[in-house]
Amino acid sequence: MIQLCDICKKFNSGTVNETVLFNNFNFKVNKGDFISVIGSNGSGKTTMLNIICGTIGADSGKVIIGGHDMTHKPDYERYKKIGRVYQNPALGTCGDMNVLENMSLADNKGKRFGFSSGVNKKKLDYYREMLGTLGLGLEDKMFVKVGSLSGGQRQAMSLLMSVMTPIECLILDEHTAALDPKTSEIIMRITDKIVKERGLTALMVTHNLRYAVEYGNRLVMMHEGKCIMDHAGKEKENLDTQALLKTFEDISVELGN
Amino acid sequence: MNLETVIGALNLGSIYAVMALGIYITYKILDFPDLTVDGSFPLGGAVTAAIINAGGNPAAAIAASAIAGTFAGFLTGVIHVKLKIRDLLSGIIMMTALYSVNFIIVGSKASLPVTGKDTVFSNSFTRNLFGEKASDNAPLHSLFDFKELITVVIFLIVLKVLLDLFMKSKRGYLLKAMGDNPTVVATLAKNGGNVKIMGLAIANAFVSVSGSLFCQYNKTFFLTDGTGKMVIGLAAVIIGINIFGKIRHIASTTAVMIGAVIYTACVTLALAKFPANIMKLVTAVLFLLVLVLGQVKIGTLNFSSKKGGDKK
Ligand SMILES: Nc1ncnc2c1ncn2[C@@H]1O[C@H](COP(=O)(O)OP(=O)(O)O)[C@@H](O)[C@H]1O
Ligand SMILES: [Mg+2]
Repeated sequence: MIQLCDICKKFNSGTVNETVLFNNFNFKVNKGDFISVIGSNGSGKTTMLNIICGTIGADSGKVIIGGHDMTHKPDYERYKKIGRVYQNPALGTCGDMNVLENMSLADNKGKRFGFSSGVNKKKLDYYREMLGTLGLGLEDKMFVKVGSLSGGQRQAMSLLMSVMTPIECLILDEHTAALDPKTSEIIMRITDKIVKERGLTALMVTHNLRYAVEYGNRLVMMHEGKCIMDHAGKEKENLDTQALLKTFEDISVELGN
Repeated sequence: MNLETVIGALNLGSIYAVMALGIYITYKILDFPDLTVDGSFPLGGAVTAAIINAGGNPAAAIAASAIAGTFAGFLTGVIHVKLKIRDLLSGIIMMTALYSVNFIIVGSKASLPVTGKDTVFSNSFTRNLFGEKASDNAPLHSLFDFKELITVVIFLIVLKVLLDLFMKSKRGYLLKAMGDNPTVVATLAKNGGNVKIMGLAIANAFVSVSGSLFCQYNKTFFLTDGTGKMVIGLAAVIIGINIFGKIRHIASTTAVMIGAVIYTACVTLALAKFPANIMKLVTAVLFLLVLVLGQVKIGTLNFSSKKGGDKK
């Protein structure tokens, strides 16, 4: 489904602050995978997602999505097949527009944005029903500006909006990190439900080791721009948070030496 | 001050309101400080003066101005988006280029009168409707004295309704989303750069139409007509949105139009009291005042009653 081939990425090239993040980095996401990605801060998780989505370009290497070489395609071309939810709940929605308008925008992804009415009042009940499944009371806030919703409500909307139209791949970057434990639990359950129901390929970065263990069929640990652990299937099922914590500690010890 | 001055200010304010609608799109919706305005405003005037002098229809001149303005805004957008030049600089480049373009359009003259020709304010239709001239014994009591105002307000309302309809369309939503959060536009698999270019093109169409009306109203085009127009438009948008935009049931476009009329009235009043040499100084101080007052949270003065609020 997604393939990163020999990706190299440097930041601040040619200055004293030069950081080499990826050096011939390779990564493959199979169709139907639900991958949890963990790793310390600065290990390159967000940058990997950015390179996949085309938010930033790699210095060299190839990005292949769905069998097509997308290396030189702009981000908006890639999002035709990809949905994305960001760590910051504000990034996935338009704060100055109301819930109905945001849902309508997302509903029109992949279609023409022409001169017909921006909102389809006939679909109001459909949107309400969809929002109702979240259990966050959003169905009664159709005409409230999204900017005045709570972070959890906004993030839940971002999630719904990102999967509203047919996509193949869902990219999640610490999408529960900014939420309180209860809301983040709700969002995580909805995420799992959507991924399973729709048969999506999902790539989820998380700092929550329990989520990483509990959800998905594959677990990847990144460190300094490399994959240092990649378990799938049965192997992954046998992992527990204790073992992951231990691996984290081992890395830190290695760094200390 | 007499009633004539008041009507004059209202006329001018309503003409500037058309421009302010355009600047509302760039400045308020797209968050793009577009200096193209000082070039696309006189562009509308130049095109109009040239067409009317060639015997063209004044309404057709307005349409041609709109097309010319669209093209100017489109080019500013291309310079900014495709050539990756900063927003302010893109506008300055277009504004500078347009000066020469306007110069060429009017046949390399500093001014081009349209006196004695039909304009949208004075043609067989308006002469039938409003009469040939004001009655001498009853100044400002005949419809004739309001013919410019009525004409401009009709144009203004039509354009406002068109803009409101557009902003409610799918394409309008995309424009709003672009100013609000470009990330969303990208994830919708849409080229945000093109959306920006579209916004600039539409905005400058409004500005050029305003310039066309301005030229027909003054019956002369001056090459310098564009100077300071961006400031007027910006002040109109800021006054409109900050004061009237907060009131429930007043659409932003209506607020911007009221802002244009009020700012023009203030400037006209102020300038009437000062000698010509310090006019620009007074304008600058007025604009500064608008900007400073614009920062005051009017919501805290209990003017605000907007549903949902706009916390960010
Ligand atoms: N735009 C940037 N400019 C400079 N350095 C960057 C930039 N983006 C990321 N980096 C560096 O790349 C490394 C990885 O960052 P990131 O991918 O955000 O990590 P993670 O998401 O795993 O916490 C960090 O060391 C960070 O300093
Ligand atoms: Mg990150």
